[in-house]
Formats: sequence, structure tokens, C-alpha cells
Amino acid sequence: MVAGTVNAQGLAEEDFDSIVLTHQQRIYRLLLTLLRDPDAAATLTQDCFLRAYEKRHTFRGEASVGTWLTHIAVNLVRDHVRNRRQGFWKKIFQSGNSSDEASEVAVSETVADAHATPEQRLLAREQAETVWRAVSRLSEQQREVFVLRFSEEMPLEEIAVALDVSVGTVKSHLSRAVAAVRKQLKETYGEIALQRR
Amino acid sequence: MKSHCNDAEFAEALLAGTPPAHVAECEACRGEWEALGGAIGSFRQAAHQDAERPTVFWTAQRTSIRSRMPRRTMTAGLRWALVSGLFLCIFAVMLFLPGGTSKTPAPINTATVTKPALDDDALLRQVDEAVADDTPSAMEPTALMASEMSRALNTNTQNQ
Repeated sequence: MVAGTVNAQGLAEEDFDSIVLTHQQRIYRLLLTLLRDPDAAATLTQDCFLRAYEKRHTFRGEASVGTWLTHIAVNLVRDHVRNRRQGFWKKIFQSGNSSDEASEVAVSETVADAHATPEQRLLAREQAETVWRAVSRLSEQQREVFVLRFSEEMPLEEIAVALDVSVGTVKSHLSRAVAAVRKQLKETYGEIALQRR
Repeated sequence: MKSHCNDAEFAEALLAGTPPAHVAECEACRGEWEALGGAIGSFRQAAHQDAERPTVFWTAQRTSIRSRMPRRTMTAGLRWALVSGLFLCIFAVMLFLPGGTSKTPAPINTATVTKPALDDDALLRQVDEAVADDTPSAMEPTALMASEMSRALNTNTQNQ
């Protein structure tokens, strides 16, 4: 547990400021990674903490506060994506071509190590774009598992709790996601080139 | 020699953070392992860098979250105690204020109700007697005084 005192009534109200302070950056990053929309990520970050505040009496400390907030954030993303009738991700999920274009537009150009050479930065950006492209084609739950594991570096058990699935399901999704990324890398760079990289 | 690593083996190795044993003896799988690990590392780096924001952004977020939270400065028990006390006060005011709803009604004059009513014949007789009387009951004192004066006058006349 990172922050927050759990008592019989759930999380104490006075702890909420410190909970927001501790987790807001991680929750925003998760939402941004899943949605690729900074405005929506900012709004849903607020919604996530407000929902947690409203439901603080139900928190019993069986999982960490971070896992509990992740669970809320993922549900908000699902609601958001379902409710959105037009927009970025709809194009991505429904059209292969627009998926590629959208991913290329959306991928950050800031992927760079301060000490990396321009060539290394370019390579890193290409690699990130390739993974984004593969991830955008995954199913909703596979994408969530992949992001939680490889971006947020959450343990499998916590991912299982946050997504309300078994650890076996998490492993299965990860295996499929890695296969998709591997396939995308081969398509992008070619098998021989990949082996030489 | 073992065949090349499959998806499940790469996934397991990524989760464990250590390369598959086969990688040590297979240049093709080693190249793929390095490419896969590098790509996923770049993905993580991109996700983290994209989410970097200035301090003012996080402060504004916290302020906005706090402003959208419903203000609850009292515990539920205290709220109920206050509401109960308020109701008691209202009840007490209604009980003791003049004209309040709790004012007891004036007692009914049971004497007038229980007094036996005159029967109709007796009442009619009283009315007939009053009508037949020369002097209305209200004028009886005046009539008495007039008769006394008249009697005194007669007495004086006889003496002379």
C-alpha cells in the first residue's frame, strides 16, 4: 500500500489528497497510453480519482490502492471507448490503413534518450511506432494487459486483480500480444534484417 | 540443435527478464530477442515521455479533482445528531408558542348543553305573557319609578 489508511469504512477521506499526489502521474500515463488522447486522459484521470473518492467506503485493502485505481481507470477507458461514436480509436479499430496512419501520427516524437545519438533516437522512435502499431490491433483486454505489463511494469498478479481475470488469462494475453509485436517487427524490418539488428 | 524460439518462449523470457537459453547458441534468435526487447523498451520509454507534464499541470489536476469532490466536513453520525436536534427544536417551538398547533381547545360549557330545555308549550306561554304585559320587561324599572312618583303626588294632593 503506497498511500491511504484503510479502516472499517474504507479509505479515510483525509488521505485522499496524498493518494492523488502519489498516483496521479501513473494513472494519467496509463490512460494516455491506452487512449492516445491527452485531453481525454486528463479528464479521465480526474474522473478516476472522483470515482475512487465516491467508492472509498468499498475499499477493503485486499489489493493495493494503486491496483484498485488501475481497475477504476481501465473501466473508465472501456466506457470511454464504448461511448465514443466518432474519433481516433474508432478509425484505428475499424480500418487497417487508418490504423497505421493514426499510429504514425500519434506516436510521440519525443522518444529519445538525452545521451542518445540522432541515429539511436530515430531507431528508438521507429521501434516504438512499430510496437504501437501492433498494440493498436490487439483486442481491448490484450492491449490493457500489454500496457500494464510492459509500460507500467505491473506484476502479473496485480494485472489479474486490476482486470478481474485469472493470472493464466493474463499470461495468455501477453503471449498473444508478444506474438503480435514480433510479427509486426518482422513485417516492418524483414526477418533477415531483424536478425541482424 | 533445438528449433528457434516460439512466441510463448519469447513471452516467458520477456516476463522473466532473462533471454531464453536457446539464444546463446542461435544468432537468429539472439537478434530477434534483442530487437523485441529493444522495441518494447522503446515503447515503454515513449509512453513515459509522452506522459511527462510540467508541475503546474499536476497541480491544476489536483485542484480540479478537489473542487469536483463533494464537500463532506461532517461525519454521518454528527449530521444525524444535528438533524434530530433541529427537529426537536421545531417541535418544542410549536408546542409552547401561543397559537401553536398544540394549544388546548377551550373547555365546552357543558352546563348550557346539559341544562334541560323548556318544552315548547311553556316557552309559548312565556312569550304570550310577555306580549300581553303592558310594560315590557326592559321598561319595568322606569314604570315602577313613574308609579311611585304618581302615588306621592296623589298623597300630597289629599293632604292639602
